[in-house]
Amino acid sequence: MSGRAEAGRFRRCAVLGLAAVASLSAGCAIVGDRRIPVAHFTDAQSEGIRPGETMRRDVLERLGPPDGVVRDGSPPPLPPGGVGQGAVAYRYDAAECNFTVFLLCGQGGCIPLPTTPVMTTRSLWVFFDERTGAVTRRDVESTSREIQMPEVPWSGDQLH
Amino acid sequence: MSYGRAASLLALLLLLGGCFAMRDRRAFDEPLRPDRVAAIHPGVTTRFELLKAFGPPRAVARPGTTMTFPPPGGWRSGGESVPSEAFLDLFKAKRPLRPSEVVFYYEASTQKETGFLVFPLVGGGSVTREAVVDRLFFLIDEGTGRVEDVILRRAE
Repeated sequence: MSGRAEAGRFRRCAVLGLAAVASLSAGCAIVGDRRIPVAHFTDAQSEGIRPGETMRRDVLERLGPPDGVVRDGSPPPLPPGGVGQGAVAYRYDAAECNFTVFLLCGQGGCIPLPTTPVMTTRSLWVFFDERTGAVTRRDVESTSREIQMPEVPWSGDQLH
Repeated sequence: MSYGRAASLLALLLLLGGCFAMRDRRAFDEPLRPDRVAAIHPGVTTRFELLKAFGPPRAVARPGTTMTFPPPGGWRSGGESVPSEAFLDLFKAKRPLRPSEVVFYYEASTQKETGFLVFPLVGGGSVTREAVVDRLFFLIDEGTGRVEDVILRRAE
């Protein structure tokens, strides 16, 4: 058999193979779902807060009012390491929920098969010297946990 | 056209045939209209006029108290507890506050949805839903009954 004929047969096989894969997987989809219910700070805003330079007024102008105000002896939630005497800490929250949905679709509709949602919550803690109003340090605390589907933000909103 | 090129074109057409992008917004609250905000004049507008224009506030921040109000975006039940100091500090950063000054807080949240999906062959895509919250703060002197200052923070 000549080389040209062999190449032609290979091309035909490749096209048929592609068509077979396409028809087998038709109606299936993998969709990433990301839900952001709270975003009171971004990474860029957090990085823009510089201890020794940024003042409390700057933080309020850039981020708005905090979600929490903590001093030494305040009730939880407290920042890691606590708050020293003469200091005050502002807390800004952000949360994000991620999961993937495998959609098996046919003529009768779609069957969604979601993975376990993971909720990631982040808190930006900004510490000030209460007397001068200067930022003394900042920390970002992050926790992730698996949650149940009803706890997902806007859990009534489905893709199909 | 060669056989291979035609097959590639057909495959591309099939793959792109079911592609779509989406962009949607769903308002949970009545938007904070800029013309209404602009009609509030510090030192002139009274608390009565403010309430008439915007209705009851979501929360009122008074010195030494904690506010509890529903979280924005309608994504979960329960209340959000925020120390009033957080809202008062917004204005305190500009000038010292009088004990008779309080903050009226309004917000308008929207769910922004963006995404893309590829159908009907090997489908896939991504969807992002995000709560976008506009926040409006009025500093009011309860002694004089007038609006003293306004801060509007638009999410975008």
